[in-house]
Order: sequence, then structure tokens, then C-alpha cells
Amino acid sequence: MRVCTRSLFLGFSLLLSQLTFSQEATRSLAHLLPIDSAVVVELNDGTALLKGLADSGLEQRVLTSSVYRDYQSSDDSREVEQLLKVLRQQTKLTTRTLVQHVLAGQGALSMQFGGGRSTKLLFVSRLKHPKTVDKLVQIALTIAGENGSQRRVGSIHRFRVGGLRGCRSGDLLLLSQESRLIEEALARQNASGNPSETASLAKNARYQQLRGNDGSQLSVYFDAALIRKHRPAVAKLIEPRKNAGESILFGGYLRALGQCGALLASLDATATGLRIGATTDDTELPGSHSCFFPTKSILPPLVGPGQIGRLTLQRNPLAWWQQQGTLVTEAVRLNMQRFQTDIANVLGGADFDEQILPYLGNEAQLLFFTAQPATRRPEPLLPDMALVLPCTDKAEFADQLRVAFQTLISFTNIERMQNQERPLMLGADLYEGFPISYAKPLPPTADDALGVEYNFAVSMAVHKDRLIIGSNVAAARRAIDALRKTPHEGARRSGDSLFVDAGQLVELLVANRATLIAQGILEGKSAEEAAYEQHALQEIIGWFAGSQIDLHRQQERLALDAKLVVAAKQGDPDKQETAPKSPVNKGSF
Amino acid sequence: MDLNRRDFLAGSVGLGIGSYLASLTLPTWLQAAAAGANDRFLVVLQLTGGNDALNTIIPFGDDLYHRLRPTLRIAKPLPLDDHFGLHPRLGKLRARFDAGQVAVQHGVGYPNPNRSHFRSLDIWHSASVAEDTPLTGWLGRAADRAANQDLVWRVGSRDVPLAMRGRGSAGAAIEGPEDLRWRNPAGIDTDALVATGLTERRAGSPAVEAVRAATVDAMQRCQRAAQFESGSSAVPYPGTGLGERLQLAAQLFASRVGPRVAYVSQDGYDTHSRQADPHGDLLGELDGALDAFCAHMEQLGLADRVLVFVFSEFGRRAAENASRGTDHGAAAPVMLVSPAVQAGLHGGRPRLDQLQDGDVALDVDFRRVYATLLEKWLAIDPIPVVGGEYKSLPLV
Amino acid sequence: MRSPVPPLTPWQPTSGHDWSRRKIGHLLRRSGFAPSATAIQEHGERQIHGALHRIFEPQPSAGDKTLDSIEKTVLGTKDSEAYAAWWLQKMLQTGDPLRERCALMWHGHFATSDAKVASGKLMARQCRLFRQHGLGDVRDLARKVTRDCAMLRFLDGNRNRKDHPNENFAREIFELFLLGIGNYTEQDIREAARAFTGYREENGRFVFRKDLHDTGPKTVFGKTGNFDGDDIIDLCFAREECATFLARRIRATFLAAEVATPRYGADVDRQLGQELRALDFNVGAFLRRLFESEIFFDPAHYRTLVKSPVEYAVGAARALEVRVPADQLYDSLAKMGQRLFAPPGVQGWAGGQAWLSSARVVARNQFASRIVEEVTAADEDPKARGVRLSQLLFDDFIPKEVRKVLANGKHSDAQLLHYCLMLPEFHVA
Repeated sequence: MRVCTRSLFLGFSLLLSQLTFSQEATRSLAHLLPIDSAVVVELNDGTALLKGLADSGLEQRVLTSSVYRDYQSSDDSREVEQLLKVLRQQTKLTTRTLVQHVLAGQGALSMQFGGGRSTKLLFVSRLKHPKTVDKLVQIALTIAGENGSQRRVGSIHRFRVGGLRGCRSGDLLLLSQESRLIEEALARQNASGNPSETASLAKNARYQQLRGNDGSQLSVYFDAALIRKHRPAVAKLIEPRKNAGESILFGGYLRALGQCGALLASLDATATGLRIGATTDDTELPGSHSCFFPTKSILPPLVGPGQIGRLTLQRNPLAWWQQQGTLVTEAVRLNMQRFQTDIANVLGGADFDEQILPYLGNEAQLLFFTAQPATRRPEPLLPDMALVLPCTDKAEFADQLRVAFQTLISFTNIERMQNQERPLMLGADLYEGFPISYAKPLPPTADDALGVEYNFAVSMAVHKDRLIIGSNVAAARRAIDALRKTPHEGARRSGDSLFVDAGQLVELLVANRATLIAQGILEGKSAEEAAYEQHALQEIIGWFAGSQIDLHRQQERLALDAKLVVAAKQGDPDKQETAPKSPVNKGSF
Repeated sequence: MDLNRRDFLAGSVGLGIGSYLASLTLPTWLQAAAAGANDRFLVVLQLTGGNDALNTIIPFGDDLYHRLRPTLRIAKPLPLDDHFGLHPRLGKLRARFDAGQVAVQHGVGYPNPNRSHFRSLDIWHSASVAEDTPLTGWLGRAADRAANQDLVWRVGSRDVPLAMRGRGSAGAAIEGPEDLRWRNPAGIDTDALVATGLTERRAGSPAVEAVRAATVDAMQRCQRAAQFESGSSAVPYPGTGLGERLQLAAQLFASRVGPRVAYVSQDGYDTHSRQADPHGDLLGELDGALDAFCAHMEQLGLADRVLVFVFSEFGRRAAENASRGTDHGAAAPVMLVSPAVQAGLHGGRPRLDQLQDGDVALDVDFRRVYATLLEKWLAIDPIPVVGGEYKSLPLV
Repeated sequence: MRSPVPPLTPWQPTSGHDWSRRKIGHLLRRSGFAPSATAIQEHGERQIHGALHRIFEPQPSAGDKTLDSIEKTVLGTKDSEAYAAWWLQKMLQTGDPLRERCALMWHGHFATSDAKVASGKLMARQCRLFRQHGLGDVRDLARKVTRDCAMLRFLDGNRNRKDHPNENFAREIFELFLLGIGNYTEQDIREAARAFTGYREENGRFVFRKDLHDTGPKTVFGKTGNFDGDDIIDLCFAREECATFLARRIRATFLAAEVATPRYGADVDRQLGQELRALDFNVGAFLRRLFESEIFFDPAHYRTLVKSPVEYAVGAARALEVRVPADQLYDSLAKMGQRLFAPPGVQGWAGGQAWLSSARVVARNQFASRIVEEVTAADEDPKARGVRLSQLLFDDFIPKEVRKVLANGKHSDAQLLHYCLMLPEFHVA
């Protein structure tokens, strides 16, 4: 974790410094890159990215945070600072100017596959300040001594520092571990007057399709077809899954990723926060996979007070179950059959695929609420959780479910009694006219020094045409509240989504601090480290107000859209005036 | 240095260690634990949940069967004789029956049948019908008796069943072939180096010498086990859970790495409702995995020394229930599979006209089967293990 | 032939140098785990008496304080595995390793398995009993064990009623806990079982139910009376065989699997038992006598005990001062044959060469491979590192060929460490 935070900051500080270059974006560098580039990272509009980071307040939050100060006093940070000091002295420029000069313009890093497991990298940059770069090259050559060399042919300056080859020609800087890649890029540059004859990434149809209309500040292009060819493990994504849970959760996405031609990911910083996107090219999936992208029974997202988060999954469970022969391995299929038998045994012969699945609808919403502690403080303090499923044919089905619930509890109690555990008491509650059934363990006896009370007492309720399974009665009540308050005809969103309220999440972490620290200590950390980790985690999450991630399929493309909203700085009225933010309403991003 | 373990153990390193490892004589306590060249092996295969025996070995010649099973009856089983047939998903087993490799003992159970899975498994595992919760099982006591803590291993799971627990030993449990891999720290091969620390005998210190010999032995065994890892067998195993577990047992036997007895289970047999398809699937999984295992043993020339004992904690009621399933029953046949068995159907036919409380009546006490396996197959005195004199059966 | 030397004759150094590196290592491995360089230095400072003082009047480490502070949180959160993880972390970090070694001994002696008890809470409580009282009066410990809920559950205490006595508990007390086979009759067991009727576990608490207790006269070891459980324990301890039996357990744990020299006579265990009795059955006091005795430092008893997986793995981590996540350690130990709170049977772990079956040795190798990767590479010349490891891990007492490999400077740190952890000498205390 500590190492992780460190590298995060290292990366972040480098990013900040590198983004300070000229605003005027000229044309893409793709015409200089090899046509068989498998991965390409492109920085397209660094100025905007940096401005977004500053405007959103994220930069300031990071730079003034205690974890960043800790990072600055770390050895990693000091090494970087020492290197910068040498460069400042030699170039007589400030760090900021230095980095501006070096990376002003555009940059692109491409990765190609070589033979075996090797890969080849080529970095291309269009410079604004060639002279500064020349100076740096000279410094590097001096340090390298016998390990460096250079020659100039006309206006082209070629050099080698250790295993790294470089070339500066006009406003271009090219770096690679292979001089051949550099020469080829130069050739492409020279031929660019006659583009039709040059094979470059710009001519790659898959690249064009995805990158063409993309205006993001930073993008990463993956040529999935090429990657699959060279890394056969990736091709396995389209195989039947070895785990039923993995299949229903990720089966559709894995298939799309394993089958798509290319993938483009992007990052943009805006005045409110970060936005991360990803999209595949057009990818037609087999009919068996339509269960992962249902279009019917889509409902508005449920919003209620005290909500920490909400996970929405849209699947057609019946179609998924019926396609098990295609979607999962034989071993898993046999286990699913076993599951069906077990369910039937418990529920008096109910057929899982004929009497249960068809009534469950195509959408599950898992809601997380802040916990309401029981009388004795439980540890860990779980959030109140409620799973909300649409169910049709409610009258008959609801009755069946109540019977099933009681049967399950009876079975559980037999086992609990055998293990001499406290049995579960069945209870019922009426909330806003809706009955809630629940089962909770008998409370521990007063002299039971080690007795623990969990805030967990499985509950079940039916609200009109929705089934609610809660982690306790409070969770069921809150789910009913959310159902009552959310307009049934509200905006509907197709696809899976995850919403997290960062502030509430931090509160949950705070409530479970002792348990989490204990966990860290059992993992071998000292008490101080475990505590610091919790502090750092809370601080980093606290930079944000919340996040909303949407993953859906539009036409034939799989698309991800994630927004990270930066939290408003408390006690900073000036900022709030200049950059007023819409209050973070749950689910209203 | 591109040197793999096999090269080094084969003696290609200029340390003479390979031949040294090969020629090393093990101390007697290690020899006792190691399966010898002529030992016999046993797979105990537990069909957990209570297999519907009447739909496995099917008395199709009995009109009562068809009446008791109006929807679940198998009209056309694979005939074994004019009265019994196997479930259609057991085609490969039927071929082995025809080849004289399958012995079936009808009507095996215990008095006063208990219909709880837990209790019935406890009885089968402990070989005791006493009311007390048992602490030891028949194979664990056999291991105690044979003074061999490696007599039985749990294969394919971490959970050591009661059957394996003795007073002093509980065998080992391995989940997969990775548990038998001699590993090196990431990125470096240290086998040759480690071996240099194992060449010199520690004559002056018996405890150190014992560790040294055991380490050499373990390295040798891992090397052998690696040769039998999945993929190296010409016999393809089906990609099912049971297939993987039996393949692992085959690897253990073939390389003589561990136990003489492998405890394997296949669960899901608790078929109370709409059982036709799932029960067929289970038997299909059993059929494919068992056949691959037997073929593998034949290929290795071990078939005559390997026996698979198949049992379930109880059979099911003779009559099907209203949910097109079957409920917990009592006595049922057990199966022994090996070219070494006295093949055929043993014991009286189940009397469907004389059911006791809806169940096929007990014909043979299960402890007689244990006594047979212990005495005739593993050469371990059954009386102290099974807890009394139970006459062995003419199955082996 | 000379007459035997009493085994606990205090060891007398012949010179100031006699408190050697080898003896320090021997004492620390036996009374705890393989020591770190710091521990060796500290215990070497003031001769044997200084070392014994540190062992028997230990200073809590920083880790002790941290772990004690979270003990209740851990107990509250999960199952027996969580408490096992806590206990392992305690063994890794404690300044009082002897306490944990003793608790581990009693856990194997009064073997109880969570596989049957099925309650992490009760297993944890039993472990606390061993940790708190393991170095004290073993009579007291035995009485507490008869009231321990996990034990009552494990040996069917609740089934032992006046009208239907259950002999499990009484049998194991005689056979495995206090006397050993051959020192009692079946009749003694039946009568003793009656004395324990009414000892019950109800909802995780010990209760003595008078209405289920058999108040009639019982005859045990030829004595008759209206005995209860405590009386039976007292009757056991009144017999010489009991002290001998317990001394044998302590000897096999801390001295040697077998006494390796005739120098101390043929009946060492009986003699040790008499000492134990003379010390009022105080285990700590007895161990202190043992750890400063001639028999303990007799060269015939150097490296005579095959380390249990816990000793091996915890020792490796302590000696190399490396962190190990306790949950991973727990899993590794299970593969090595020592799953805490789940001994294989009522006899506990067989120990000794039983630890060396192939699957278990492979598991030791897998653990060694993994832990080596956790060690921060030493900023040290490889030759110097090899020489230092030879001292740290082997008291510099290894075959010449091995010494050459360690000192040749040709191997990476990870290679050297893996080599050391797979050397047979490291698996023996």
C-alpha cells in the first residue's frame, strides 16, 4: 500500500510537470508511428488536462495533502529532486520551464511486438524548444561517457546513451532502443508529403475508426487483434468461463474484449473532476451473449438518503441460465445443475429455471446505506445492504418467496443448532404498509465476554413489483423508502453502473477503523503502518465527492464512461464562489 | 545457466548428485511410508448426497420398479443381465462390466437406517453405529494400525473427512498438482544449489540425517510426479471436477508420491426433485472420469493393482416422490472397479415387494465391505480397524 | 561404569568462553524460535544467567503491545482461522516466545480440533487458557481443561450424564493427558467417567449440572469416595506415573525425542518427573531448571529435535527478520501438516519424523521459496553475507562443503537464503 501510494505520487508529479506545454495542438503524430503498433499512448492536449486538474481543485488537494507531504520526504522523491537539481544547474532553467521545454508539443509512445515475448518501444515528440533538448542530450552524453556516442548528418543529430538511441531532426525528437525504428519513423516523416505511399498507424483502419473523432486530452489505443495474435492468453477471453459468478458478472464484457478489433481509452480533466472513457470498435457478439445486454425491464436508479453506493447490473438471468452449455465450462455446468437440485430440495421441488428465474426480471440493484448500529456496537460495522430485483406476477410469487425464506431459515437453524450456535429468530415488521420478514440471531448472553453482535439479520420484503433482500430490517426499510421516492417513470439508464458517494464511504472506513487496522497488523504491518494506511486511504478517497461508472453496449460497441467528481474544498469559500459546483446528489451525475 | 530440475536430477550436473540421489537408500521409516513397487492402491470414491441406486443399477426386470417410478423409471437401461441394467449415461462402465472389471454388491447398509446426511456419513466414515459422535474413521484407524500416516490422502479438496482421521494421523490433503511442485524463488533455479547441501550424509546427527534423506526423497518424488502431470498422459480426462480429481489420484499412484489410498468425492447426489436430468449428468460425469482413470491405469500397467470403491451414504426411497425426485433411503449397492475384482452382481436382488418402511432392506453390513477391502486388498488386519469380526465378501 | 549423573545437575561453564555461540543458539531455539542476530547478541551478553533472565522475565516487544491491543477485535470478527492468524503473528513478534512455545505444546497435548468443536470462539478461549497458564501449575491447568468448553464439546462432555455415562473424556484424561496407556484399568475409566458427569458446555459456558452428576461412591486406583472431576485430577497427580508422563512430554518438546546418552541413567523421565513434582508442578520453574542443566547442554542433545512446521516457519521469519502475512502462514503450515486448532486426532501431532513426509517437505520448500522473496536484499558483500548466515542460522556448525558454498560469494541473496532454509540443519533444533 505504501509503495503503491508512492508510485501514485511519483506518477502524478511527473504527469503534472509534463503537461505544461504549448496549447496549439497540431496534427496527430500517428503518421510517424508503425502501422503495427499494438499499444499507443498519446498526449493530445496537455494544457487542457492540466487546466482541468487545477480548475477542479484536485491538484491543490493533492499538493496540500498530508500524504503528499509524506511522499515529498521519502527517498524516492528526494532522488527525483536531486536529478532535477543537476539539470537546473546545467540548463539554468527552472524545473517548470525545463519540463515545458522538453515536452512542449505533442507526445506519443508506441509499443510493437518483437519476436518471442519481446516488445519494441518508440517515443515520438514534436518539440517547441529543440535547444533545451539538445542541452539535455549533451548532459546525458557527458554522464554516459564511454557508453554514449553521437553524430550529425546535415540537420539530423543522432545519438546513443547506453541502450537508448535517439534522434533530433527539426522539431522532432525520436527515442527508441532500436535505431531501426527511428530510421523508419524518419522515413515516414520524409514521405509524409506523399501520404498515400506510406504505411503508418494513420492508415490503420481500426485506429482511424476509434481515434478519428476522439478529442480527449490523453488517449491509449490498444490493437486488440494484434495483442491476441501475440499473446494467446488474451484470446482465451472468448472461451467458456470456469466460474459461474465470473460468467454472469463479466461474461459479456470479457467476450466483447476478447473479440473486438481495438480499444480506445481516454482521460480528460474538467472543472468538476476526471472523466475516463473507453470504447471498443464495432464488435458483433454471438446470440448466446445477448443475455448480458438485455434491453427490457430497465428501471430508474434508486436513490435514498444515507446511500453510500449503488451497483446496477442488467442481465437476463433466465437466458443466461439457458445458455450455460455455451457460456461456462462443463465442470461449471455440472455444478449449476447441482445448484438447481439443491434449490429444488430446499424449496419443495421448485424448478429454478422454470419457477424462479423467469420472474426475476432483468435488472438487479444492490444498494448500500450507512449502517445504523445495533445496541451493542458491532465490529465490523457492515453497511446496510439491500438487493432490489424486479419481479413480475407478484402475488403468487411473493407468497412463494416468503415460504421459501422461512424454509431456508429453518434449514439454517438445524445446522446452527448442530454447531451449537445461537439459532435465528424469525420476525416480521410492517413498514409503510409493506411486510418485512427477517431472521436474526438470538442476542448473546450477558456474561458471554467474547460474544459479538453483527448488524446482520437477513430480511426480505416485497414492494409492489420489486423483491427486496436486505442485510437487516433497516436496509429493507431504506430500500422501501428509496422505491417510494424514486419516480417509477424516471430517467432510465441502460447498462451496468456503479455509483459511490465518497464521503459516506470514508465514514464507513472510519467506523471500521479498528477492524481494518487489526487486519493490517495480522498481515504483518506495524500498528503505525496499518494506521497510516487507513489514514492515507481515507484522505485519498476524500479528495473526491463521488464517482459514477457506466458500462453499456451501444449498437455494437462496448463503452465505459467513468466520472470522478472532486470534492469541494471545505473552508475555501473563495473557490466555491469562483467555481460553484452542483451539490453532489446521489445518482444525479 | 539454463538448467532444469530434471537435467540435474538425472545426473547431468557435474556434481554427481543425480546418480547419488538415485542410488540413495532410504531409511526404513521412510520406506514404510513410501508405496512399494508391488503395493496395491485404492480409490475410495464417495458419491455424496445419497445416490439413487435404483436408477443406477436398474432392476428393469421387476415390474414393481416400473410401478414405483412412474415418471423416473429408465425404460431401456444398458442390460447387465436379464434383470439388471445400468443407467444409459454409464455406457463406459457397462463396457468395463462386460470386460469383467466391475463387481457390484447389492443391499449394503447398516441396521436402523438414519436419514440424515450428516449422521449417515458419520456412520459410514467411522464404521460405527454407536450413538456417540465419533472421533476416528475406518481409514484413519487403518493408518494408525499400519503405522503409516501417509496411507490415505484426501485428493482434490482441503477437507479431511472423518473417515481419514485416526487417533494419531489424518493423512495429507492435496487440492491440485501444484501441491506437489518443488518450487524455487521467483526467477531463480536453486535446485542444483540446494542439492549440494544434501550430498553429504550427516552421520553424527540422526535427526539432521533424517531431514536430509527426507528432503532428497521429496525432491525425487516431485521429479517423478512432474512426469505424470496432466497433459503427459496419453489418456484424455474429461474436463469435469471429478475428472480432475481422479487424474490427480492417478498422478499420485503412478509416481508413487504419496498414499496407497486416495479419498475422492463427487457431490450433488441429493436429488429430491426433478432429478432425471441432473442425476443423469452426475452419472455421466462419473462414467467419463472413472473410465479415463481406469484406462490411464491400464496404460501405466497398474490396472491390476488399483481398485476403485464407489459408495454413497444411502440409497433413496424405492418410490419416487411428488416432485419427480426421490427422498433419502437406506441400503444400496456398492461398486468395486478393477480387473482384479470378482466381477459380476453379488448378493440377493433388492426385494421391491418386501420394502421396509419404503426402503430396500439391508442385506450386507457395510463393515463387511470394509473388512474385505482391508484384508484382501490392503493387507491390514480388519478386526481392530472395523471394530469386530465382519466376514469378508467374495468381491476381490 | 560410573554411576549416573542426575539429569538436572546445573551446567558449569569451564571458562568465560564456554558460553559459546553454539550454546546460545541451542538455548534460544529450544526456548523459543530461531533467533535474530539482535536476540543472539542480547542473550550472549551476560553469560547463561543473563540469558535465562531474559527468557523467564521477558520484556514485551512493541509487537506484543500492538497485538494485545487488537486481540479482542480479532476475537470478535471471525473464525478460528482469524485467531490462529493472531496467534501466529504473536509468535512472530513476541518478546516472550517461550510462552507461545509452551501454549503450542499444550495445544498438541490436550489436542482439541475445531473440526468437531466448530466454534472459533471456544477454540480461541482454550488457546488463551494455554497461553495464560501454560507456564504455571500444570495441576491447575488440568483442572481448567476439564472445564474448558472446547474440550467438553470435543470429548462429548454433554453426553456424559448420570444415567448414561460417556467414557470419552475420562479415557483421554488417563490415556493421553495425565497417565499414559497401562497405568489404569477399564474399570478406573468407567468410575472416573461417573465423576465427570454433569460437566457441561451450554451456549459457550461451562456449567456443572448437579442433577446430572452421579453422587454415588466411585472407586478409582483402588481409592473409594464420592469423587468429582477435581478429585480425579488430584488422584492422577498423586501418582508417580503422572509426573513421569508429563515430564516425558516436556522432555520430548524441549530436550530430545529420545535421551541420547546413558550418562543420566535409564529412567530419565522418572527422574525429571520427580523434579517436576518437587517444583510443585510449576512448568516455568521446571523449564528454568532444565535450561540450565547439564543434560540440556550435553552435546548429545544438540540438534536432536525435528522442528515442527510452526517452529520452522516462525523461526525462519524471526531469524531473517522478515514479515509474513499470518493468513498465508496459516495456509502454509496446514500444508506442512500443522493446521492450528485442527490437530489430526486426539493424540495431537505425531511430531518428530512424522513431519517429514513428502507432501510436508514439499510444503516446507514452497514456504521457503516464498519467504525468500520477502527478504530485503542485504546491502552486503555476498561472501560476508554467506559467512554471516552461517553464524546466524547454523551456529557456524555445518559440513565443510556447505560452508564453502556459503562463503564462495557466487550466489545471489535469494539463492543463498533458499539454500539455507532447505539445509537439513535448519529443520532441526
